[in-house]
Amino acid sequence: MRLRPHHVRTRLMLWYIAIFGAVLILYVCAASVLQFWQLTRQVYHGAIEDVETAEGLLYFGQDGRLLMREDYHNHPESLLLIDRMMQVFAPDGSTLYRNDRLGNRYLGGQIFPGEGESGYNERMGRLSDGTRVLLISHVHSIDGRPLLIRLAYDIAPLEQRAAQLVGLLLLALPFALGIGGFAGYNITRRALTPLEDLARRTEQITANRLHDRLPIENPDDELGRIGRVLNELLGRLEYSFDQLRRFTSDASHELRTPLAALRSVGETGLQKECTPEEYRDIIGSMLEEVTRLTRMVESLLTIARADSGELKLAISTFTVLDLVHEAIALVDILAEEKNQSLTVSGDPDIFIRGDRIFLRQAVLNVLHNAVKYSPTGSTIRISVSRSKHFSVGESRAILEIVDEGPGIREEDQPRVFDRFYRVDEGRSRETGGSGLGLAIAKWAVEIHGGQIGVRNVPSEGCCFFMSIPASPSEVKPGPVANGELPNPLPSVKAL
Amino acid sequence: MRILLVEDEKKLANAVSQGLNGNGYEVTIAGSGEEGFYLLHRQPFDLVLLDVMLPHRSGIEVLKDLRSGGFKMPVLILTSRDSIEDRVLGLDAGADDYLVKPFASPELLARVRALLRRGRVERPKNAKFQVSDLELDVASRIARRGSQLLDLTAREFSLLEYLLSNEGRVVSRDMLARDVWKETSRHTPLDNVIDVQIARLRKKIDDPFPEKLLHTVRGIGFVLRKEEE
Repeated sequence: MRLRPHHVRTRLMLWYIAIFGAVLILYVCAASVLQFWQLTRQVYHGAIEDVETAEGLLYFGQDGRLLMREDYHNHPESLLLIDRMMQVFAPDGSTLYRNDRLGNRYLGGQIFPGEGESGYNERMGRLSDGTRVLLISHVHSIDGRPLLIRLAYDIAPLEQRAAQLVGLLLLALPFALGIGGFAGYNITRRALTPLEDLARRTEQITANRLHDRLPIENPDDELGRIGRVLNELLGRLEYSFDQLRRFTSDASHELRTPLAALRSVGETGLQKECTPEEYRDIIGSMLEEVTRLTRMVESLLTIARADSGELKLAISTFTVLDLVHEAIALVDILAEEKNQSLTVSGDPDIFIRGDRIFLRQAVLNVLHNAVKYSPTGSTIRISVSRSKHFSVGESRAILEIVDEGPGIREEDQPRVFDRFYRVDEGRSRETGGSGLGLAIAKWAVEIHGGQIGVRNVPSEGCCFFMSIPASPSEVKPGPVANGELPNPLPSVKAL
Repeated sequence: MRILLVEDEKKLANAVSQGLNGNGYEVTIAGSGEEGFYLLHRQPFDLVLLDVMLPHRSGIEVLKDLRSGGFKMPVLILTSRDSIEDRVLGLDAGADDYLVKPFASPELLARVRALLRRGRVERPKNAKFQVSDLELDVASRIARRGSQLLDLTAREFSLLEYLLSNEGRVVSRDMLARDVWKETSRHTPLDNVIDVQIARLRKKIDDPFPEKLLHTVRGIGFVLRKEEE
């Protein structure tokens, strides 16, 4: 199993230490290499001077042997002089001179052609016993004979000094890392403390306290941004919760009303002796309430499915006017009963693509609503038109249903599409609506990328309008299999 | 006709059983899929009414076993879930029809009749109906009471035709919505429309005559029949 610390703090600190350590080690290595290189340069530089000095001190004795004047310019305190190893070769390769320090070791292997002839040749070399040395070769004429002089210095002291430096730096490393880690830990902790505050405060916000918001010190920094985003999220959550709460309580209330009727009718019926005819009436009355309950549950289920995106749309292309005529064919009898006239006008060639049944239901619900609330003898005007000014190139079908009813108060207008909302509570039972018709209409229109709304028309009643993206032309008449909608759909949870 | 009703909810089972008994069917109730199987192996049934939500094993599983066991009688599924997936699941498992709870008893009777009739010769389409002195000729689209011709709209005519073809049986508003208005959606606000249409039809076929034929059964629906003696 991988070891993975739980806290971001610890993880950050460990990363910090690791990176800091790696950088330090790199630094130590670089410093040591640099120092070693510099020392080597210094030694070479000194060595060249030393070669020149040595050359001046060499001479051939009377017996023809090459000798060195040790008494002259001899500074024993000089490291270079003490460490100096020297061998002089004749042009034929034979050794003419070896100094004491070199002893009987051989300096620097075979002579290669042209060695030391042009200037001073610097290189790393080895003695015959393997000691590593810095080696300088130079050809110098003494008494007319070109001699190859090799001068060498042991490399060990240099390496030792470099190693000392590395050791010293490495020794300091743990302390540096310790201090660095401690500082890193504290900085991270301080940086993360506001986050922890945020987490703690968010934790305290429960479903019952969604109105709480997080305090934001600086809305422009990163933490302020997180806080702002969280607050916005809380706002949306609060709104959804409120809606859900209202919906649940409304739904319970709406279900309770027919249940209460059911109960009291049944109880009253049982309390006295009745004729079969009366019993029939009582049971019939109870069944009517059952029907009302059933309708409501069906509508609620439709809404629940719409909310969860479970409803599948059967997409086809059709004209708006056809849709309107279908809806009218169903409700015109209700309008007739109230002596209302329905007039239809508009372009018969405006096509839309969508689920015919849901969209017809939307039109039907709005139309039914208009018939219900319009006075006897009035006119309901339905018009279909095309609109292009929503956005560039997009054409929309506009359906308007204008009645001569009492209109809807401005402050009530946004709420008429809410579930269970009724402008006039008193009329709800007599007209028999469930208060869900317009909510379902809104859902059906919005899932097709459309909009629905209501406005008052001066000197008339109110105007319900829907705008639905128009299909460019008749693509394929008749129903087609479940397919994609022509437009990117907005969130399905629009209801 | 023998019907097996597999339903664990006793109250509903008894009510359905009584309703079917009253219409001349012989109903046996099984409280679980296992009991249903036991009964099926003991005696023949013409139709099975199967609840989906049964204890231990779902009705769908019971249905699959039943079909793989070679039982070929029609099966009508009773379910409280009516999403399209649930319907497809039931029909795939071998159901012949489904009915969503809460269902109206006329609806159940109509489905049961339809399933038991299946495979037999359908009533000829161009039929003539007669109840008392009300006559309706589908082919020539003529309706009359006694000697008086009735002037009906197309909708009124098809409504009357439907009521006549179900003479003596109560039809619910749901059945009218589906079969006369051809409304597939269950949530369309049609109840008012149906009531108004029935009232108009009644005005034409009943109001001018002493004998009333079209009756409202409060809370259930409508029935066309002779007045009881």
